[in-house]
Amino acid sequence: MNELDCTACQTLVHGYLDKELDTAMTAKVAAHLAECAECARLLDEARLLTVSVKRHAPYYTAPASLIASVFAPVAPRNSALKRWRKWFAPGFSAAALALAMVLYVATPGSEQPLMDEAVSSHVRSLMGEHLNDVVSSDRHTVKPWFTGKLDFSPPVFDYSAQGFPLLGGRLDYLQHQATAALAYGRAKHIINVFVLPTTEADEPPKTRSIRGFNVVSWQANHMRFVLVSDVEKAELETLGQLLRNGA
Amino acid sequence: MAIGDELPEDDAALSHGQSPELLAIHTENAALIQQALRALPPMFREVIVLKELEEMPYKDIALVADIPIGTVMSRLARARAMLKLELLKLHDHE
Repeated sequence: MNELDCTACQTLVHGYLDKELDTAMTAKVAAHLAECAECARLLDEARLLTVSVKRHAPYYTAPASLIASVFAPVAPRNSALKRWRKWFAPGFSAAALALAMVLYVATPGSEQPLMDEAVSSHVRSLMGEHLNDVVSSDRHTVKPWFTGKLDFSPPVFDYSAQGFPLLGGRLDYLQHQATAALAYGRAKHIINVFVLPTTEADEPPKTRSIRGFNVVSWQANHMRFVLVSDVEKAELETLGQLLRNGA
Repeated sequence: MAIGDELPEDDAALSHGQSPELLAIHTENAALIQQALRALPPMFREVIVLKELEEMPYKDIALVADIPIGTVMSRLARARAMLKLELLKLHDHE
């Protein structure tokens, strides 16, 4: 029955004192205590100690205000969290959306590579003797020339009257697509008009400056127009207006 | 808990035993008790306060002190042993 050794009992005695042992263990400890004076003395000491502490240790009751502040805010705090969720969660969503929009707008879109290519092509066309494959100011010569070379029909008009004579046309290749390149003159400047098919929706004209060249681009009738030249921005926009108006 | 009920009755009888150790432990000097309690490391002082002053059961002490319930008794045993040693030390100094 009492296989308890003193080492184990030295701990169990405290559980015994605090009445925290189950019935079986309580009986075991009681049996051991009846036989072991040493452990019995330990129990007495522990009991006296607890009495002393209970009697003399300072016990300060927390001020009512502190108790109130500790226990009362439990509910409001919860509602504060809810309020936080209610107002800040949509706020954060909106902020995240705004950030996404900013990134979407600020990130160079799919247009940028095309514009860069167009500018490079414009520069290349001026370097060698390859501005035009078909040299003519006659739109009835230039336009049919493209037939069979392109799977779309770019609008070709001569604007000599408005100061933009048609110089000719050539085939180019932008964005992995066969592209019509029309060359217009403006005083001594050359304007390249790139026309390539697109599946995207119409877009209003946009003017930008790339490496010192002015670029005007828009999309209409599933065709993308890119005008590149070193002429004044306003002049390039004028030609763009003419092209959009047709003849 | 028949055995437990008998415990308080021994109290008065024991205080007549008066070995030096018991004398030290059964002190009426509040300052001494406070000083001894202050000398304990916080984790041991904590279980003493929760048990003797807050009179919590072991399972609540385990919750408050965030220790396994099996640890409460052994920690309390150590804490009381340490407190006894502190009191003896202080008693010898007087």
